[in-house]
Amino acid sequence: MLIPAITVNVVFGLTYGLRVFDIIYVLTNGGPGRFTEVLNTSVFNEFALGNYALGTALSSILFVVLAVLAYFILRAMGRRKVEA
Amino acid sequence: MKKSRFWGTAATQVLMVVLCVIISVPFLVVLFNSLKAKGPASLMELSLPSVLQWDNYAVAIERGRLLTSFFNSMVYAVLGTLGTVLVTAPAAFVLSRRAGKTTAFFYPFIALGIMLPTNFVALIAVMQFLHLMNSQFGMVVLFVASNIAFSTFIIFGFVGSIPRAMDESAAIDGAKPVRLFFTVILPLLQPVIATVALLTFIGIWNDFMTPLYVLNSSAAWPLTLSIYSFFGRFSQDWHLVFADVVLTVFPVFVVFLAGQKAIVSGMVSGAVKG
Repeated sequence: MLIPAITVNVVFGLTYGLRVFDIIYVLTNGGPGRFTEVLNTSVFNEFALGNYALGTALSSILFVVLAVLAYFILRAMGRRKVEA
Repeated sequence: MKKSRFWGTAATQVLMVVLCVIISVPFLVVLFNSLKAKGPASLMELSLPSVLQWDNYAVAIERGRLLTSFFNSMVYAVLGTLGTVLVTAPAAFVLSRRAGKTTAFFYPFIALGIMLPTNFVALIAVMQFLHLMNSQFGMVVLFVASNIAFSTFIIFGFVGSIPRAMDESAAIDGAKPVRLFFTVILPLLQPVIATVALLTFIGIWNDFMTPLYVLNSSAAWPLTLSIYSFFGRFSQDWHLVFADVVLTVFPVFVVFLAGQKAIVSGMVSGAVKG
């Protein structure tokens, strides 16, 4: 019964976690070194430096990762719903 | 036996109080320190201010140019929310009611927009091509576009719970599609629209990344960006920074308190059936 609600929450939580930007940018800006860097902050840093190509490439990687993840989560959740 | 139950409840209560205190400490630190003078505020202690310095707020408003950015934030949030609701409510209605090949093809695209990230570099190329960079109008359009996916998804789930008989009886009474939607369906969608509007409003108000990419001129900055640059310029004057933070949080806090109930109820009714 709760599976649909859990699916929505898992998908939102995961995708939000992979897309965080503002907290990391404001608090550490990826530092010290690159220890707390995530894809979105490095995309912005490349963009700020003018490396547009590298920025789009990183963005596309994030896109592919999220698309694959979302596909498998939705499929796994859908199958469990059928069994129950 | 009665005694042990009493101690059990008491322990839970104490735990709850401790958790509440832990959560509220940062808020209280910000609130108290925003009213202190420069020296005591830089110690960042959790103590009541000895002298209430209401001047801090006036100084923060004046030096941080908060009025302009408050106005900008309001424009983005209000117009963005209105635009989102106006676009997504009819879209979700049609997508839900007309189950055909076209809608089956388009709906997954819209739903995917919830999960997939925005490619900002490409987005900015598009915005430049359309001459929407650095303008308030462009920001509103961008916010509407980026909220379409989530709002359509939530409203779509809710439309399914409205019986089809409503549409049919309205159609038999001679209502044209546009009139049918605005006079019959839209009032029924009111709870989910309240949810979507509140979430969109808060989301736009708190958005930091989008204006950071798109806006170069400080005249069009919303509050999130102005507070960031304020912190950069006045990082020695913690009392001003705290006052700035309080002023920024306050409006969205009020909106959230007013609409808390609608957010939760609408989320549940919309999302689960999707």
